[in-house]
Amino acid sequence: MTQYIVQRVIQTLVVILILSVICFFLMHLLPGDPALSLLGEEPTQEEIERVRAELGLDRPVIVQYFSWLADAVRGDLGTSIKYREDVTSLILHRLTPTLHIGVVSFVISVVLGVAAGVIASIRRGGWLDSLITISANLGMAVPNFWLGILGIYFFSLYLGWLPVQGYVSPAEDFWESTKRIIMPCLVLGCSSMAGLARQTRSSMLEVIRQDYIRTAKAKGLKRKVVLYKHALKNAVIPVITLCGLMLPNIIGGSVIIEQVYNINGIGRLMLTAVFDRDIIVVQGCLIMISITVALANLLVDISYGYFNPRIRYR
Amino acid sequence: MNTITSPKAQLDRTVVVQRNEFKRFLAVFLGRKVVIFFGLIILGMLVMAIFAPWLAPHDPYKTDLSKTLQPPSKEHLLGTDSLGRDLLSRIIYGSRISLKVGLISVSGAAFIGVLLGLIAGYMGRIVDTIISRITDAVIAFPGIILALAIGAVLGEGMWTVIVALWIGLVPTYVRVMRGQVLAVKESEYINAAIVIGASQARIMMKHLLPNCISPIIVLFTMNLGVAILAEASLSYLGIGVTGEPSWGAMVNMGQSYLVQNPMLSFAPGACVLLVVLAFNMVGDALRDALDPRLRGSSR
Repeated sequence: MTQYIVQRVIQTLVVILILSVICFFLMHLLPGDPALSLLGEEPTQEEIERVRAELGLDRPVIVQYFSWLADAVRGDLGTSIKYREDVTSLILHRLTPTLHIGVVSFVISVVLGVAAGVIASIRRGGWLDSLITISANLGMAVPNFWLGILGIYFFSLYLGWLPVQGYVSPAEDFWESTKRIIMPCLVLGCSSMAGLARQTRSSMLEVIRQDYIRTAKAKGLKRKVVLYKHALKNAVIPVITLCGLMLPNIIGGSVIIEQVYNINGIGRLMLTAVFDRDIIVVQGCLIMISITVALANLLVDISYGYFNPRIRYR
Repeated sequence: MNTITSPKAQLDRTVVVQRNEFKRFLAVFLGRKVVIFFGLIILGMLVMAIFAPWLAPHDPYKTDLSKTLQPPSKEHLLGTDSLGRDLLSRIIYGSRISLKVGLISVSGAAFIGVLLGLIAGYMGRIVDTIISRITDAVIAFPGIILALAIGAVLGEGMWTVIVALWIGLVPTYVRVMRGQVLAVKESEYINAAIVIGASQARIMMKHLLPNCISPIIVLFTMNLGVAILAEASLSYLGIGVTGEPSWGAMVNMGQSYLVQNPMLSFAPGACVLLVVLAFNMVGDALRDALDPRLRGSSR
């Protein structure tokens, strides 16, 4: 297991290094000069050269990359052109809503998705199975921004049960916070929930057909013990892989959800920065988000090793 | 006692087996009612996109400030938007963008991905390591986030969406193709081709590619839905298609008038849902029909 973990950590570090190269050079393809964006209208040639020297833009690109990487490793992602503020602190200020909604949405989709998949597999061919399968197919195809708007229309404007938009920290008012995030979390987790339900159903059906399940039944074990102790434990292995693939969807989807529900998170910060051509912020958000996804995938891979003894003892 | 069959008889038998295989594929694929239903939806979308100028009851670009936010009526079946433009006509024209972006982005991604996967799987060693690690890195970028970064570089527009989808979708094709090639390349017929001195390019294009293509066809169909959904999402955010009617941008515009005319958001979003669902369902059925282990399993 240790060898497996070390191997995965090294692979993740290589991936993070490649990510940093992609992030840096992608942003350097941007047409226009960041010094001009900083100086505003009609700056003199000396001013441009001074700012370019201050930003380090007069150095070779490779030197600029290593200098940016060294700063990034120390937590310095540069200064925003629009806000004139440190990008790291800008991101940290907006981290809470994104993280809060992302984590709650992930937990909801795993719990409800796996439960729905198990129920569908146990009731295979019945009306409950059909209902779950149809809902899962719809859940995977529905645009989340549209689902969010439908939710606002029915639950907020028509029924008046939930607030329309905005975010309140749970530390400030837990009940109000829960009321405000419940709809964004369900909408954000919808497609992941659907994918998990489908995957759990098909892997449970696959496992139920195996010889060891027949043996367990023949030994006279209770149905519940066979299903939850023997079948689910084995069926969950491919589901964990899917959980890893869900993370980019949830993080990416947060941009849309924050826009629909008017929440000031990292996704919205990045979207605004794209329209303002604030490349330092875009670059900072891009590297932070991609490293988060890479690290989350590492955790998923390690837990995969933990749940799958064939990997653990290899 | 062994009987010696003539090469012609062997060839005839192969043709018969292939024909039976194809008949079985068609029977499984078309035997599902959902395929017919969702296939008709896809066909409907194609007809809508191709014949939009003849099908649209009004000019989708013509504004009429005396008829803004009108409810559905005989003249405007789905009502009008905040600039007095006919919603139904804009939805019909919107299918063109969805289809255009879907086809260009998925074809491009499939072409690049299949080629890279073929090279990585067949060449192995350092070439495989480089391609696989870059693929791993690109997969770590959430699609929308990557599209936003490309939007910052290229500005808003259709090509931003297409380039973002190329970069986002290529890794899946690389992984699937590489896996297929690794499974097939140890086959006897590949060894035979090497022995008779076939070039690497010939082995890859003539022998490996046709034998690894089935999962790529399934992926292509399903990715059309993914691309249409991504185009709608990016246009909703404002970095997608500008100037032309796009379903995602229409949902965004309608969001501000939810109370006055909810149809402005509901109708274009429902079109996205229906088309994406259609491609997913047809892709699912195609996968089941092409994979002998899955034939009829999820019927």
